[in-house]
Amino acid sequence: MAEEKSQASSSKMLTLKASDGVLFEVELNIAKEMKTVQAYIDDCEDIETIPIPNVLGKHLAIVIEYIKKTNEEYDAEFEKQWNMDDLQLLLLAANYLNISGLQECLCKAIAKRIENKSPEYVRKVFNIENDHSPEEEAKLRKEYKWAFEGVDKD
Amino acid sequence: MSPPSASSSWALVPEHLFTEFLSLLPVKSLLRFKCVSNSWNTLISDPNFVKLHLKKSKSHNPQFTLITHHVQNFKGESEYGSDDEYEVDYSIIPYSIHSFLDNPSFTLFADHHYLLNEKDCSGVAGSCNGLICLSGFGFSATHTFDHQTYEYWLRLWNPATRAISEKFGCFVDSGGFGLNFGCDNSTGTFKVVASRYIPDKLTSDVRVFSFDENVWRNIQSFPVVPFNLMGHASLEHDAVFFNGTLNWLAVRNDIPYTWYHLPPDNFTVEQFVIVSLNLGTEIYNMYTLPQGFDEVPPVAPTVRVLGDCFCFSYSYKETDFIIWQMKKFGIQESWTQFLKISYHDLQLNHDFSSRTLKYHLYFLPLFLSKDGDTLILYSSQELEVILYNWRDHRVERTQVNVHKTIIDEGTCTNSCWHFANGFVESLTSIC
Repeated sequence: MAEEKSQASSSKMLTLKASDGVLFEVELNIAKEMKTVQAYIDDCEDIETIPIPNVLGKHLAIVIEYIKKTNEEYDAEFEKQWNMDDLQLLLLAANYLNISGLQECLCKAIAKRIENKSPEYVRKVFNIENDHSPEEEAKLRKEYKWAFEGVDKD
Repeated sequence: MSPPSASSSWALVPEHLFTEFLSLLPVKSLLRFKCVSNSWNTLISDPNFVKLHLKKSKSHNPQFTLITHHVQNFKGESEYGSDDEYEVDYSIIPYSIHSFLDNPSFTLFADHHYLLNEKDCSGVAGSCNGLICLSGFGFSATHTFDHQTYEYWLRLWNPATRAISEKFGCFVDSGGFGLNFGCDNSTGTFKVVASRYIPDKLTSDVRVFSFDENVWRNIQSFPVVPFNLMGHASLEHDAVFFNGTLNWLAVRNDIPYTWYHLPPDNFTVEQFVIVSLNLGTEIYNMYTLPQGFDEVPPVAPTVRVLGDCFCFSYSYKETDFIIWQMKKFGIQESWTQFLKISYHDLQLNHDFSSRTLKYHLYFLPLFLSKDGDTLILYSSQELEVILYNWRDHRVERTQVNVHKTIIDEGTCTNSCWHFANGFVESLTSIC
């Protein structure tokens, strides 16, 4: 009897609705990996459709797949498919949905992509304005001259 | 790789997420990114960011320092080489443990900024939080043949940021001091302990330099004098720093001794003890060794930190090398045998019955892989270290070639694996 019950609860399905209206049916245990969703379920037990207003269907699909397949091998290959824009949106999604494993995987990926880049490249990617005075910047470049060796050409 | 999109909305990403991925970057990248903007410069210098980065560095990128020995030969005029001169120098080179395990055969370049002589130092007192405390000594101003006094000094160096302090902690005394560096975990204060054995008085001189007080203070002598107290600010330091304490192996005896080639006569295992100095309280504790340690080994045993555990290891008869872990530091009942590695498993081709080998074959467990399955082991009979995966009983030999990057004619470089120590890259300031 108890066995049947646990089987029933683990195969309970939940619907997640992305910001662009796309619907995803996921198993409860998958949805629970998203701590934000878990909190939602804790608050309203009978809920069947949970709105995810900050995440596009395209990215929610990727997030759900990640949760299903995550392991060391999958994680290593996972990040290679996405460009910086996707990584940014996935990172925002992982942060909003509160999925620590995915957040860590994405942070590692972003760090790896910028590790060997120049400050100019980094400013462009993250849309950051250079508010150093020319003297300040020159001073820093001189002090850490050696840190600029071997950097990828932009 | 396609160029980044100018319309990307990274402005929507909260600062704590930027901090998350920035704290995963190597020091070199972060120093370069100080140029990106004022706020990035401020973030990278922020002590909380430095702490977070250090924490990530410890778990994601454990490293070690390889010490290499350079000898440059200057040929003299004499045919017989009697007036040849030699210049000896050392390099301290950080390297990633993961990279070494992934590819144990590689060539390393000893960059100029890793050299010891130009820093006017000759030894290493220890390393903590990405800082290496170097030591040096020389004849003092008042040194004479009849009254031999030496000046000792320290320098704090961060090899990742390349920052180095001026000389500090200078003191003058007759020689024989060994220096050990550590950190008082409760306050985060760095300390150096200078110690030496005084044969005439059968006691020891122990003094502490605290980085916040900036003076040397004498403290109580060792309750039991450690054997093989290293003198003269050497590259080999005798104490093992662990969790806010400095630890030495000692033998209870009326007269301390040095374990040169043979274990002293009339020795029993019960006499062995670990002398531990708490850097916070500056009080000594003593710990006994595992019950299973029941025979005096032919070569001096060692203490070492492997993974996150304080370990004790020794050669057993002529067949095995044994490592014990003190699972809970300070709790004697927590000694657990970790590994018993047979020489046969290590595929060593030596005649172990030879008496020469018996008292000279010396192993030092250096580091463990992150998953704890692979041991990097130094053997005195091998030129290179051995990688031993104890789960799969797999032995892998290594080949590390080191060259100085500045081309010197006739410089011979060798790795001193027995001086290698754990290290972690960090932004920690030397001030």
